[in-house]
Amino acid sequence: MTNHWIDYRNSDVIMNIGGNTVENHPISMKWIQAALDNGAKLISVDPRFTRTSAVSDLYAPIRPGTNVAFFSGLINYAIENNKYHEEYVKLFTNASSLINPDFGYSDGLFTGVQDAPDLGDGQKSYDRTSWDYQRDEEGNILKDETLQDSNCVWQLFKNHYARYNVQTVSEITGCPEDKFVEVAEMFCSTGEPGKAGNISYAMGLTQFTHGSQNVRSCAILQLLLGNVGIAGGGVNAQRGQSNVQGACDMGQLFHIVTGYMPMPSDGQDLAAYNAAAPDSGYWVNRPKFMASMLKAFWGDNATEENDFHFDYLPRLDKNRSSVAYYTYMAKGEIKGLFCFADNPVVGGANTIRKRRAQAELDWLVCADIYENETAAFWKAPDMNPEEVDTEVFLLPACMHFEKEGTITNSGRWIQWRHKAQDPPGEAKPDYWIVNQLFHAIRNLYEEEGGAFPGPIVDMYWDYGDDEVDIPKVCMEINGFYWDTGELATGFGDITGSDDGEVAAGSWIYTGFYADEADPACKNRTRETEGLGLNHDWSFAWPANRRIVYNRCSCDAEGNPWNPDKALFRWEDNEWVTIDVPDFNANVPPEETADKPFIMTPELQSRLFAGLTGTMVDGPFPEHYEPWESITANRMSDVQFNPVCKVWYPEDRGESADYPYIATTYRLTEHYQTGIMTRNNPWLVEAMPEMFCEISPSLAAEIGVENGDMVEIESKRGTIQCKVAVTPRVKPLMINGEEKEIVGMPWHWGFKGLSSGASANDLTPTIGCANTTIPEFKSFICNIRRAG
Amino acid sequence: MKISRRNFLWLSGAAITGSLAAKLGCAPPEEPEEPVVDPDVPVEEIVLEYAETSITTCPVCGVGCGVLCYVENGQIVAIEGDPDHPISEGTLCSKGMALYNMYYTYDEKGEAVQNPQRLTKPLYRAPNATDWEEVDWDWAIEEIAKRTKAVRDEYFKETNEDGLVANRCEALAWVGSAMCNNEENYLFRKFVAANGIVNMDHCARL
Amino acid sequence: MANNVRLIDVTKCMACKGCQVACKQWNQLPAVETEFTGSYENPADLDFVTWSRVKFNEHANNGEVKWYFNFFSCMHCTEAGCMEICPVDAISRTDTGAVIINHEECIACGACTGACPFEIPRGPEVDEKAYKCNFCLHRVAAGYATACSKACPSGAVTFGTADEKIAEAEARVAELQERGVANAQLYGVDELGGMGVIYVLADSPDMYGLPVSPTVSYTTHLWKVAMRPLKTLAMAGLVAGMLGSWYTFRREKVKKENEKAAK
Repeated sequence: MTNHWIDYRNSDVIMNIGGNTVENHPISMKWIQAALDNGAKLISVDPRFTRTSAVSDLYAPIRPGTNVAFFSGLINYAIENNKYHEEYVKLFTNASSLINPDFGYSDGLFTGVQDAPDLGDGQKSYDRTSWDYQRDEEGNILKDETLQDSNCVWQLFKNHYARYNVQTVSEITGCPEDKFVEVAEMFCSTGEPGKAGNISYAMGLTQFTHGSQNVRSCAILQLLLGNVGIAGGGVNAQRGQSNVQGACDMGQLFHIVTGYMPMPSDGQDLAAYNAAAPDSGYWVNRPKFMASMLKAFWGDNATEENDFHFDYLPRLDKNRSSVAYYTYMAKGEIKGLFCFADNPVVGGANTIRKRRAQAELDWLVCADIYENETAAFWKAPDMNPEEVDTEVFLLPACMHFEKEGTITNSGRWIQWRHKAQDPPGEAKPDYWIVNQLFHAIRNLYEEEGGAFPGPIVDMYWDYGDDEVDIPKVCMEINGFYWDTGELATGFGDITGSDDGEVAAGSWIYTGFYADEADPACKNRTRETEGLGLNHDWSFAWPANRRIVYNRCSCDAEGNPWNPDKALFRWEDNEWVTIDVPDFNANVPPEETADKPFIMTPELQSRLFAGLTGTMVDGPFPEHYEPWESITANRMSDVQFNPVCKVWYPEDRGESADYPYIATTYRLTEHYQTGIMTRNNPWLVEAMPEMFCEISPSLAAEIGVENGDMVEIESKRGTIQCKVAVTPRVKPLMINGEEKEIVGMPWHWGFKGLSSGASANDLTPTIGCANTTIPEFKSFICNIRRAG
Repeated sequence: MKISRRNFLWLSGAAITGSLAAKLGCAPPEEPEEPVVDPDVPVEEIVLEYAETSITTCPVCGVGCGVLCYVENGQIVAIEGDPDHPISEGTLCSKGMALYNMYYTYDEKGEAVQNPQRLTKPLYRAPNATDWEEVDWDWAIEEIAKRTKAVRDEYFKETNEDGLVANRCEALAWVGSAMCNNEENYLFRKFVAANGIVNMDHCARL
Repeated sequence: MANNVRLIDVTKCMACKGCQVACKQWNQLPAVETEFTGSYENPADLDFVTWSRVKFNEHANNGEVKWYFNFFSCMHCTEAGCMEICPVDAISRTDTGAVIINHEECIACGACTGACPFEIPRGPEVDEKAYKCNFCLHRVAAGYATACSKACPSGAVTFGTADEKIAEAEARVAELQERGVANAQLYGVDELGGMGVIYVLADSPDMYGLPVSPTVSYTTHLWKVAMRPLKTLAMAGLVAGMLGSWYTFRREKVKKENEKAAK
């Protein structure tokens, strides 16, 4: 989230799209309701009429997998009807920047396209050279402040989006034209200076082959309307789990280490890694942050002479996301898997293949609070245990209130959790388990030697033999001067000292535990008046900033767009600061006006995300159909994202066999793979069984009634569950044809107090071109009465 | 389903006392004609008053609501929203309100017992076995360490096919978790780096 | 009029069921076994250990869908049929406005269920006694709000004094009407002599599964006038009255179930 939960109350219009905020984040409704009480409007855009739709002012249906088209339609509507925030766009985005004249777009593809057989038959990749700015001899980006140059971003942008008119968008998305215009009118009203529009979303934007472009589209719309960096605005990713933010911050992803620094690649030494860091923007400090992390990892053994043992970091050679590595596992390339508090055999895509892949492992280590389906995969109805020779260790873990530590919410608030009780029996915290494992492995390497033992035997790992000293871990993450132990209080301690002088596990957290006796993450003073920023409650990274990119809340002269909800104000030759500035507040406003996005090298936000960015599938979002679709791409001859990796082409169904759109989602009463809730009697009582939802017209077509058992089939598998026949699901008119939707929650699996079919037995192994998040949210299926 | 004595007192209408009403300064009740009295249950008996509280954060979604655990004799006896928390202001949704059942459920006598689904012993499943067996922690840790080292030693690549520095073990894989604390995930990251694991992800991408 | 009121503003309800589970937790009520029947609504009915639940009412009209939610539990009526009919005076009203059952006294006759226009008290089929929401008696006595209202994230369920809550409800209805919710209305202020639960509805009560004009039956009144003063009377009369009332309730229930099945 760029903003935070309480800030929802500052919005004039809230659009929930690609999320189901009141079902999956019910407390968000507290602050949405506060906004509604002040006259704000809530828009719900969803394939089904959900509990969010039920409390919204406006509901618009959308076909799963068409968010790029939907957003593009809104962007085009804002441009054509002059509803955008022109001054904001000129100041804070790269609208005026000139792009290489060689850049172009034609029939679904951008310039630089080349065949990429390693991604799949007919798949492409891009040589992105032409996706760059025009620069002068010193490397400065050339600009046309009048926005008239045909190669300036604004002109290219307008032309790209002009194709997304209301009728086209309606035919692609299935949202009736009048509804779409209602949404456009309501949401684009926030383009007026001083108004705030909030877009909240979750996995309904990300879990597509074009998921990253969905999120880009959302960000572009918000920039166009001047809704980023202001109170009540924002691009608000509602995190589905209590610490998914923190797990990412700590680098639990294959492509990064901590603090969003990329993994090194094969052969890269520290000098090469540092040379690849951006040469402008805040990331110029990346070498300092990397040195501080290496110091925290290898302590005394990490010295300037040995490049802080940068060589000890494993190098990343290719896509090693869970989607990818389960395919490697299926080929027998992976021998051992550790799985902590996770359940990919229910929550991953294409779970039938996942179970089979796990049977190729030599051993599997799982830690969980209840027996989960990943650990018990050999017991699945479609597995024969006697043929599975994988050894499995299932370790009893602690529940959340049986251990202490911090978790980070969607608003980046790092909050301390006290321990309430001891764990039962021999259950142990995950930190205890990993501590024991590390010690045991290090002992073996110290006694016996082995392959490249350095990273293990030299690692700084000193948190106690039995109980882990959690405050000590916190201080290491926060950062401290290695020689004196003095805690770092801000980024300046790292950037202003010699490389490796400060050891900081994850630089973005610096400040959260800067006072051992009274760490900021334990702060509990509520704001009594103001915008709800609550600076004295916990600590929000970065630097306790509650709304990021907040220079954008004021115009060039430092006047807030909305004086009633100001984050800053230039007054009497100084900045009056209400939030923590995301800019240099020691200089007059004019000096920072055109550089509010300090994390991009161009210091502006990108309507065009070219070579300075990381998008691999285009500098502008373009509509492609999901990998499996019931219709042809109306925008071009390129059917689905040309840059995504196709793992199993034989798994792709045809609409002739699978004529219905399928989507998956969550319910208030259950949580993710259901381990925490399917074993909870009160929640099982409230939502006892797996089911799917279809429209009355589809029910009539296949001859089923409410509560009947149905069979749902995709190219990957077949499941059985009960059916809910409801007018809340409606067929949509797609490119002139009526298409039905089958919706299903994905919380169930074959274990637990409440067991049931896994929707992910049906979903495909295919992911977003940029992130490899699987396309859970849109695939095709058939449905019939069971039996 | 029966209700235990303690539960009964807690929830029975019989528990309101005339003396209590007087103590709270309420007007004497018009009805019932005969006041219902149970002197065994003074107001201090309500768990919100007598139990120790532990301040924590809800483990479910990404909102980060404040939660208070009420603890008696080292065991959680009730869980409610933290009224001081600026985001949730004491409220919780069904999942938050049901957290207690993750720890304790009720048996057929209505007594709170540990959730029977809970894992409390390390389990091991041998190749081709049809069931789990209980094992000791020491054995489990030692055996996992040995297997990790064996795979790492066999498959560790100091260089790739082109002779470039790789320093990784491609035969190990890792799933971290959004259900674990920051400190745990940080230790996971160090563990993974030390072992050269590059196949790594968590549910942000699953 | 009851002293305390639970105000349920259904226009703010998102059916998260926080209230439903909060009730279970505070009152230490175990879960019952339920099944999915095509609706998100579960448990499907109140029972001995389910004193409150969220109702889901789905309406489709000309392609427009309405999904109405409401929190449903004891209404703590001023004119409380259960209290009137109880042959042993086991049901009474506290000074805080709660209608409560004294389980030491309850003889498990089931008359209260039949006499309640909402069929709230439950139990005889499962246990010896009748059980229902007690308005979180102990919490309220100790100065806390009811568990359901404490839990509610969106302010749909709140708890306070009658004067305060009625004023709030009236203002909310006016506000909703001003915003174009033409059918916005109050429910529970005038009904049954003033209920301990007041609803702000966006539509007519039957759209929420609530009786449009809840009344305590004539026979229940008669029972109160004729029989209760003679409560030491022979058991014969008592049992006869009880069974009559119970029979009426069962008959109505069976009839409803049959109607449901016929649909």
